[in-house]
Amino acid sequence: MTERIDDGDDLFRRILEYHRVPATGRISSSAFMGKGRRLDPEVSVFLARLSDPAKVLRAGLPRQQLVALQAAVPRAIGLDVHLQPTEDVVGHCVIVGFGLNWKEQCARLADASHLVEVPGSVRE
Amino acid sequence: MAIAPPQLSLLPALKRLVEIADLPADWDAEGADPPSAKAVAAASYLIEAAADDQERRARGRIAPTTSSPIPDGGLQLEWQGPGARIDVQANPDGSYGYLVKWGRDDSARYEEADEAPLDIVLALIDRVLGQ
Repeated sequence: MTERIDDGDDLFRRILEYHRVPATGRISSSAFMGKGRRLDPEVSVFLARLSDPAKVLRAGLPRQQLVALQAAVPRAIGLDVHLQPTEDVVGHCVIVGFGLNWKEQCARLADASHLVEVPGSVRE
Repeated sequence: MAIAPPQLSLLPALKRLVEIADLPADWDAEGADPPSAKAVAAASYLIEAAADDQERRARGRIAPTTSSPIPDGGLQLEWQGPGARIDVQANPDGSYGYLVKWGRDDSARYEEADEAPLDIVLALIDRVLGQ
């Protein structure tokens, strides 16, 4: 059965500490930019309901942090969220559908995101 | 959302850039490229050029609010004005792109380009800081 992602579902994304503005804690739009942004933009996120935040962080790199946003946010700006489970992470999803205004879309995703406090994770 | 006061020394911004320039490949655990030498040079040059430009306009040598890596090997610098914000991308090939958010919250208007000449970027930074 295909897992349904509701608008109210939270999505996690791993970011580096450099993606937070030091003075305000705001998330930079670059936190949602992908490597192949012009050719095949696809942003990895994790469905919170199926993901242990500590495990998501452990699967990343030291000094990474976790931010969260609701699935309604990408959908409201013309993007879509697909579940794309991996061998290790069943809650892995991708945000797809970026258009010519992809920088605006990244900024809107970032502005709607907030830091998730994960016990035991590194904070600077 | 709180707005930080403008940083008038370039040293913290340049120090942060040096740290980011040292990121290894795969710094995001998703296969990111390390910051390219051309992107780091372009970002450093822009920090100095924007500060010089603002000093000529008697605003002081204003540093970017923040900087961050982009997975394609580029870097992003941000300047925040009272009512607008500009994100400038130093692309892996040394060119610049930008996103400007004019206004705040729901009434904001966005303007973006994947490539833009330095003089256009400097003019936009000036407009953002003056907004």
